[in-house]
Amino acid sequence: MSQTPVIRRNGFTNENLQWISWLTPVDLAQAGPLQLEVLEQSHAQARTSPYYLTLVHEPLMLRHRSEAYNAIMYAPGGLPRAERELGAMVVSVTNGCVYCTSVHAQRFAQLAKRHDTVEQVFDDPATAGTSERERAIAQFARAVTLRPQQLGPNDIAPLRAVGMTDPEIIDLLHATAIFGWANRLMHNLGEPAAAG
Amino acid sequence: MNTPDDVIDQAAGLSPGDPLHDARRLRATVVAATQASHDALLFQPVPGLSVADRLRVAAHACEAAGAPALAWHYARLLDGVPDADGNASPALAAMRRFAATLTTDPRRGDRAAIQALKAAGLDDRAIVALAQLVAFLSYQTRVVAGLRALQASRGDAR
Repeated sequence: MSQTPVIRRNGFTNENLQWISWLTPVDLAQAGPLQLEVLEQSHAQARTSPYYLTLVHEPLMLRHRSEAYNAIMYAPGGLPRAERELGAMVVSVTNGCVYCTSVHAQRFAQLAKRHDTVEQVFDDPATAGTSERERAIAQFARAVTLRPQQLGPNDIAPLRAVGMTDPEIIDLLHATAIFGWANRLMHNLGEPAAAG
Repeated sequence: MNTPDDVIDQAAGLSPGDPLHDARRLRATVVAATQASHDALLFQPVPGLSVADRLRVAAHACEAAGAPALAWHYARLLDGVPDADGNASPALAAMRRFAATLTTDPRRGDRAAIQALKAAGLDDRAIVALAQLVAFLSYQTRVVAGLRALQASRGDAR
């Protein structure tokens, strides 16, 4: 992150934020063996994260969520990871999830090694993208988020036109759909605050 | 519980041998974890949050999302639950309100919505389970809708 400037637009930021739970997170000292195991599987910093410590109230639900999330966002092959992060960032802005947006703006910039698209997404995801391919990804991510039941061939055609195969389109669908899941937890079980 | 092997395939109308059915299996971990999430979110025992109430909330959320195939799936599972006719929680109305708002307009999420669930009698563990279920449904309905669009576009191409 040292090379990326702070970007603040429209209430969104790429700065590190903290997240404050509206529930009582599990006390790590009281956590059972299954809870500790699932925290370990979920995220490298899950043991100190109020978000994961809140979700681990239900460890098996968190385990399968994390399996899905980690496979969708990190598995090798298929759609480049920067493009999965672009989808995640567009969905997070569209859903108004400031915390998710900050994390995935950072990840996109790390993977893409540039941040021009971040500024565009913060300004307006409907027109964001520095290439035809990025614009097609951003527009598909918005359609999945805002009007999933009206998705049709007209939403797929622009992805095919920029060279995406069906497996890559499925990767993008997964990356955008799972932020329908992630944003609803982050934005409805707690709130962001400036890092202390 | 008589659950289909893969709810996404069933709702999207995909069968073994279909190109998209096979393309999904390139991400076998995602397919398995999605189905395992469905099973855990609905059937893992949670004090104060019955399986029947979760199925009622799921059917309601899918209707609110405009996803009739998945709403039908949850209603059918509810039909298979013993005593599903009675014994709905007094908190069901509050749970359905929470689910409808979270499904259709996640931007409106606020602390008051969580307080309303607490006031209806849900503890933190039940609230986590309920929120995970409803948030998962937003993922599931979108994956199904996207696969249907992809399937339709393959039809166009032929």
